[in-house]
Amino acid sequence: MRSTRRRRGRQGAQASLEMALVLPIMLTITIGFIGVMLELRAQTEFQTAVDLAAQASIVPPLGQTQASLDDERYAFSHTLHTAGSEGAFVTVTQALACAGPYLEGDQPVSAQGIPVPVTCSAGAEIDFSHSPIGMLWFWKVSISARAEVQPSIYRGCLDLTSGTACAP
Amino acid sequence: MVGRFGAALLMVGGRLRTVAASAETAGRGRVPPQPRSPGATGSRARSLGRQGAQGTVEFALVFGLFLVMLFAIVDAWIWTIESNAADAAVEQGIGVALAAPPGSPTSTQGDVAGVYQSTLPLLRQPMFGTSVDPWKPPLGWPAGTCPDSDYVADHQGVGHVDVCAAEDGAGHVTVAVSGYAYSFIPPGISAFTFRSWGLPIEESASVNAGVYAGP
Repeated sequence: MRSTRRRRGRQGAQASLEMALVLPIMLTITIGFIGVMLELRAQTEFQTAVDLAAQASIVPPLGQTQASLDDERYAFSHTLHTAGSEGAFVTVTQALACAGPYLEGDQPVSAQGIPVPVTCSAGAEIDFSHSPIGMLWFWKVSISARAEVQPSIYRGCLDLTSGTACAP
Repeated sequence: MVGRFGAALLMVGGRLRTVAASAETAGRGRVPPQPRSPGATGSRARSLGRQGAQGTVEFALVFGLFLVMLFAIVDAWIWTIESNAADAAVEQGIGVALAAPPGSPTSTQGDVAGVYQSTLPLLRQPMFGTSVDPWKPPLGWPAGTCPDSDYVADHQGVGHVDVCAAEDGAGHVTVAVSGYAYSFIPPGISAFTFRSWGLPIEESASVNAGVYAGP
């Protein structure tokens, strides 16, 4: 009778031990996978924001530096949604910066006839510490994005104040 | 737990082998057969039956937990694919909206109509059964804004995503993909900002498309 009870106790302890071993592994796999997916999403959204900022920077006519700056910032801030499901984990650490001769009123072309591009870049950190994913992903992940766009060689010049085409 | 189930099976197998060996020995007449009390045999059988049932219940519990985690992983994976597709569609839509409408190269309005033609075919394929339609704003809807995923789900249900392209009159074009895609989320845990059988898809971008270079 006592032997049977002892055996049952051993079996119960064995089951608990097996559960204690299996459950953390399953949780780690699940949370880790969801964390990787969220990180990929956040990175894609961040890259899209930088891509669109670069595209927006060449929308104003040649040499309209302030308009380009306004447009690239507007596009970046209205594409990266920090209140969204995956954007909520993103904190911008390196502000968006775009550079290129087009933004300064120049439009040089290479020997192959290709315009020198405008380059935009930004950096951010992904932090899961305020979510259940943070149980496993307790460290911050740094991401960065870079985008290049080539202004059209057909793009002319428009005086924003008068609305007339200005001389090249 | 699965190990216990296996051990119970092995134990049953071992017991059957012992019984078979006893029967063989008895048949050869070397050892006289030992009388067994019917009460002892019934108790052992009951014990084995209990262990088998316990193993089955434990296996069902572990397998259920395994399935929940498997579906969570598959859901996260599909949601990532769908959201990435929505992201790509929004980026393409903005590219189209930044261009002047056909026939008016100096227009200060974006090509909003062209956004739908460009993004809808791109988005329909990777949405895994979730329908994709152009957004039709109701009367009185504020100009230049797009609905969020909850609004779309409230009015069109889960499993539907709308593509929206809107121009606010000041040169800002917004392109959005919003709605709830099908998922394995059961009704019980829909309190976590999810909806039953749906996960939110919400991607949007906005640019100033109001300034164009002259010819």
